[in-house]
Amino acid sequence: MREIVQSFLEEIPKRLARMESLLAEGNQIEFRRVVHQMKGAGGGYGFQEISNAAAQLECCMNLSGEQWSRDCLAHLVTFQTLLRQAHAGLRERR
Amino acid sequence: MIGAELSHDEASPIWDTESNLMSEATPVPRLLAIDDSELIHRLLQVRLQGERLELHSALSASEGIRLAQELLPEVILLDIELDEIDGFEVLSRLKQDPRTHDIAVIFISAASDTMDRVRGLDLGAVDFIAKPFEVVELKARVRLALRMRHLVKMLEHRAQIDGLSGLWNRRYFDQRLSQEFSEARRHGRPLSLIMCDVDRFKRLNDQFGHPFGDHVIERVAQVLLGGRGSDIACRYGGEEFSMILPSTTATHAQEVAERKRVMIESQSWTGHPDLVVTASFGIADLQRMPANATMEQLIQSADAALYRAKQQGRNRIEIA
Repeated sequence: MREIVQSFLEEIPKRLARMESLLAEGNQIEFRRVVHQMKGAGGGYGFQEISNAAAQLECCMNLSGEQWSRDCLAHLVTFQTLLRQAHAGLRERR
Repeated sequence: MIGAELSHDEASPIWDTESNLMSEATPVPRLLAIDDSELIHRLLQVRLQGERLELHSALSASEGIRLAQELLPEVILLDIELDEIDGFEVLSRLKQDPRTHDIAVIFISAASDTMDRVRGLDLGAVDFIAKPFEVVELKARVRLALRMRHLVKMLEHRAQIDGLSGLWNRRYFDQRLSQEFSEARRHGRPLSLIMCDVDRFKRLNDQFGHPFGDHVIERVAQVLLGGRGSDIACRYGGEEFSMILPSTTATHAQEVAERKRVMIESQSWTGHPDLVVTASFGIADLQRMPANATMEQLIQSADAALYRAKQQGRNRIEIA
C-alpha cells in the first residue's frame, strides 16, 4: 500500500500541470474528468480532504457551466493547495 | 433422498453456509472492475490482495464488455461515469446478453445521485457503492454479491432436480437432450438414450402402499445415478426414467443398461425378503436413425424399444 500511495503523491506535480494546461486550453470536459477521478480515488489513498475538495469543485462546475463562479475558483484553489500540501508531505517524509 | 447436487458431473458446489462462500473448497471468484481511472485500479489491486478473488481491470466501457464476455466473472464492479458509453448502457448491454446476464453487477456512483442509484438498480444491478468508497465496505459488498449469486445458482439447480429421486427432472432432461442432440449432430458423435420403466409398479403400489412405491423410486434412482460420470440420469415421469449417454453407441449403452438391470433385480427390500423388483429398458442410438431424425423421434424410438421389452416379458433390454 505504501508504494502506491508514494506513486500517487509523486504523480501530483504531473497532475497539477495537466490541470493547468487543460484550463489554459479551455478543455473543461477533460479537466472535469481529472477532478472526478481524484474525487473517486483520493480517499482510497488516505487523502479524504482531496476527495472532498474535488467533490466540491466538481459540484460547483456542474452548477456554473462555462463561466466559473467565484466559488468555483475558490474551490479550485483549495483543491490545488491540498494537492501541493500532500506532495510537500511526501518530501518531508523522506 | 440422495444428494444429486454432489453426484452429478456438472454439479456446482453447495453454498449452504456463509463460511463456505469464500472458502478453499470453491473456485476462486473472478471480479472485473470497469473504471476509467487508473488510480482506482491500482488501489483495488493493492487493497484486494490476499482476498480469494481474481481481479481483472478494464479501463473503458468497450474493454469492460469484451472482458465480461470472455471471462464471465462472478462479479463486476462498474463505474457509472465512463467515457464512450456510460455505465448504465454497459449494464443494459450486459443484461441483454444471455452469456453475461447473470453476472452480479455492483455499480459505483457518486454518493449524492439518488436517481442514478435507482436507475442502476432498476436496470438489474445487485448493489451500488458510493464513491469515494472505503475498501472494507467494498469487500463486504462483493461478498454479499457473491452470496446472492450462489443462492440464485443453487435455486436454479434445485429447480432442475426431482424432489423424490434426486435425479434431474423432466425439464432438465428436455433441455439437456436437445443440447446433446445438437452437439452430437454437429460433431458427428454417437448419442444413446435409455428409457427405463419399473416393472409392474402399480401392483407394487397397490400391494405395499405408496410409501413403499416411493422407496422403490428412490432406490432405482440410486442405481441409475451410480457409475459413469458422463451419463445423465433423469426422472422422466412416474416410474419412468431416462439416461442420456453422450458419445456412446447402442452396444455400450446396452452394457450400461445391463449393469443397471442386474443391480435393480438384485436389490433386497427390508420387510419383503422374497420380493424382486425389476425394470425394463429400451435403447435408441442416434447413429442408427435416419440422418434427418428429430430429437422427438429419438425419444419415440427408445420408448418403442421399451414397449417391446415389456411385451417380451419384462426385466430385459431392447435396442431400437
